[in-house]
Order: sequence, then structure tokens, then C-alpha cells
Amino acid sequence: MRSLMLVMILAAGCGDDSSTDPWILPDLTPAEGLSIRTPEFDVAQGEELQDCYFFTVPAGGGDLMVDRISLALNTGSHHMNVFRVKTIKALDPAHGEAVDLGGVQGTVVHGATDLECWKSANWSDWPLITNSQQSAATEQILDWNLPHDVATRLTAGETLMLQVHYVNATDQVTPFAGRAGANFYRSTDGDTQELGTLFATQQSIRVCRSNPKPTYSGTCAMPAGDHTVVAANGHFHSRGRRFQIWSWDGVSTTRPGDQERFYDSTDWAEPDMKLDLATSLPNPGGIWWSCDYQWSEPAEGCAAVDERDPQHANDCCYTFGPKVETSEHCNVFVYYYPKITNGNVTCF
Amino acid sequence: MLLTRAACIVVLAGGCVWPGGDDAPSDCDLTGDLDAEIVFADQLGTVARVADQPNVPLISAPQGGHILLIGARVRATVTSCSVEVNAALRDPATSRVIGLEQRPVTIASHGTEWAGPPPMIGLSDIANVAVCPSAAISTSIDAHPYQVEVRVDVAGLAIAHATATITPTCNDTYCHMDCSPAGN
Repeated sequence: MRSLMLVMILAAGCGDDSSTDPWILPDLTPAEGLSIRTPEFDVAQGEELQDCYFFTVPAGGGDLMVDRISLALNTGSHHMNVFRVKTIKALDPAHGEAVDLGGVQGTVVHGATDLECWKSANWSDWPLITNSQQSAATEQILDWNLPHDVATRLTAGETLMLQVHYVNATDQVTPFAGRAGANFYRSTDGDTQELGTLFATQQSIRVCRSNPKPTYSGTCAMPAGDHTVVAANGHFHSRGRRFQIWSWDGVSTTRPGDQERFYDSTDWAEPDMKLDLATSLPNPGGIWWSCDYQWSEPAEGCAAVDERDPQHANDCCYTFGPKVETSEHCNVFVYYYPKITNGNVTCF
Repeated sequence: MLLTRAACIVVLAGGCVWPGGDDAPSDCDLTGDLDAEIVFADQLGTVARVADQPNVPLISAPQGGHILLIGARVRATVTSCSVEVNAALRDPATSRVIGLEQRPVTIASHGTEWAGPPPMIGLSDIANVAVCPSAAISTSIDAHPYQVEVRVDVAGLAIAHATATITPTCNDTYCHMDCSPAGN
């Protein structure tokens, strides 16, 4: 694969385009943290791949407190998410095949042969750790230094899932090969506040030819306490036009005012990952988010879209689902501190 | 489903416009503060009034978690009307909103003086209020009274409000766990 990539780079002009350079992350020693590298894999023309990699946080040195996260993706990725594995339903790490993740031994469940890697209900109680949707040729690495005194905890011995989604079709293109990597840098300065995450998704969305500009909005409530949002990003597919997130007082049923909005993105393929936020949520409160869509004719026609419509309306409706080409999402990822003491924040 | 499709065809033939989009159909000349009643759907898609059945089933959602399927019908006669329905579940003890969703839906009179969802619906035809799990609850959602609030908007203006007390109800152990404070 690497030789193939080299040939293609040379054919494209002897490497004069830096966008073809593969990303490089330093390999961390155990004292420095934890490195994960997926193998390189082909993404054939017209294909959408999603793989679920499982690995265990090393148990030897106690919990790993992480205050810097680097996530890397070859161009063409739709997303990578890292979750903590909790209740195992139909997506079982034990059913995966063995894989070397850059020196860390794990398993992988390939979505191409096991559809459970595509079904979000399988990880509905798996708390989010981190995510990236950034794979543009010039920005393949998301490098995030957490705020001062804040770190995320990787518990010794816990199983994590790195999920990687690649597309090489009409909406997104993978020019060479898929590959993902993550570096979790060990905090050494005694951070005292733990990072928490909020993951929420809009249920049963529908973007149809007969109603081409729908908006879906929802809320996600936090428990009482002072919480500061430090990062956020939204996720939808190519019919998505605008993704907005507001801080919300937890009692109002009308959308918060513009002054409360802390995230606003119109880029579905490479949505903004806001890393410089310092938004204090009302106490008690939460977030309000919305997704605006514009229906468009599928490049391959409506048959595939209609086929997966659970209501069989024959209205070329994109409905909730993971496939970029034929379905839609409205998912929100919010990072805050301090982490709530009684679990995790998920709304779906 | 057949009702939904038939209504869509009828309205499309009339050449109307949805408030949510340039090409979508509607005969929504609804304004003012209309009488409204809150309705819900069960896991089979059967729609009922909460006034008749305040025990509202918690539905296992395809994406995970448990939701309430909440909508409204308003006193009006319309062939088909695209509205925004905003539905929220509020904890009466704390006044906090546990879950809220706003989405476009179609209402029609179906031969009555009330315009609402058809008697049988799909998940997309009514608000999916995600309530379990929730990090904001201190008591279980299952089998406890909560307040449900619904607002109906047309072109960004509210045309109806309704409030009722319901009892969200699980029908299995997993739901009960998911809807308890420890389920988060």
C-alpha cells in the first residue's frame, strides 16, 4: 500500500503537493502516554467503510490522566470516535479479529462484514472520550491541549473503542488509503479537574424531497453544578447546512438567544472543532442544539434512500443512519469540566 | 403510512408551500391561540390522547435510549398543514426540562374538527422526546408523574399550547434501569 501511495504521489507531480504527505505522530513511551495506530487499509471507489477497533488501557501504571490529545486521519475520513466500552450488546470486542494497533494488541470488528459496527444502539451507553472529523489534506492532525488543570481519565484496564469511518464515493473521497492514529499524552503537572463529555443525537430525523428544508432541535440537560464547555463540534452529512449549539438554562422551551450560541458551523465535511471555548453553562442548565438541512437529489438516484426509509414514503427521504451517501445524522459532541460525579451525559 | 402518503399527494397537487421549505405543501392559514390537546404514540404507532390515557409508554429508540412520542392536535380544519411541534418533559419538582425536541410534522383534520397526526404514525411523524438516560433527574422517570408541554408553531409563530400531567411508563427491566438516576 505504501508503495502504491508513493507511485500515485509521483504520478501526481513528484510530490509537489504537500497534501499527499502522510501524517506522522510521535510514538509515545508508556511514560509519555499511549499511542494507537490503525493499519492502513484500502477504501475502494464507491465504498463506505466503518471499523471498530478495541484495545485496553495498560493496567500497569494506574490510571492514565491525559492533558493533550492528538488525533490523526488520512484524508477521506468521515469521523473517528473513541468511546469507553460499557454494556456489550451485539458489538462484541471478543468477536473481532486480532490486530496490532502500533504495538498495542487489540481486536477489530469490520463493518463490511459485521453490521453491528454500524449500529449506534450497540454503544448507546459507551461514554465518549474524544472525536475528530478533521482529515483535510492540510489538516490531518487534530492536536488538542486541554485547558490548564484539566485532564481526561483513561482508567487502567478499561476497554476502549476507536471507531473509524471512511468514504470514497460522491460526498467524500479517500484519495489513497484509510488510516487513523491517536496519541494520549500523560499529564505530569497534577491536573485536578477531570474532563467530561456530552454526546447527544437527534432521533428519527427525516429530510425529504417534499419538505426539503427541515430543522431539528433538541436539548440535553446537565446535572446541577458549575460546568464550563471547552470544546465542541457537530456532526451531520452532506444535506446538513448549519449546526448550532447554545448554552441553555434548563427550563425554557424556546431557543436561546444568539448571545448564548457558542458553536455555529456550516461545513458538514470538515466541521469546526472549537477548542478554545470557555463557556460557562447556567447552573442548572445544559445545551440546546439544532440542525438545518437542505434536501438534494442523491447522485445515484433515490432508490437506495427510499429503500432504507422505515416509513416507505417513496419521497426520497434521508433518514437517521450512519451512511454518508444515503442517510443523515444530527449529533453533538461537547467537552466540559469538571466531569459530573454521577456518570456521563448522553441524550438520545 | 397510507394516510400520510395520500395527504402528501393531495397537497402536492394543490401546489401549496410548506413553511419549512420552498417546495413543501401546506394549507396552513392557522393563526391565533387555538385549542390544543396533547397526544402520544405507542411503540406500534397508535396515537391516543393523554387525556384518555395518562400512562405514556417509554419507547426503546432505534438509536438507543428511551423516548416519549409526543404531539398535539389543534381545533382546526385543514387538509394538510406542516407545523413545528415543540414538546418537552418537565420535572414538576424542580421545574427542569428533562428532554425537549422540536421538529416539523404534518397535521390534518382527517374528517374531524381537530387537526393532528393520523391515527397511525411512524417515528418521524411526531416529536421524539429523549428522556432516558438523563443526567438531570433525581428520581426515576418510570412510573412517576411529569409535566408534558407542547407548543405548535406555524412559520415561527405559536398557534397553540397545551400542558398535561403524564406518567411515563416502562414495559421492561432495561427501560426501568435506563430511566433511573443510576441509569445514567
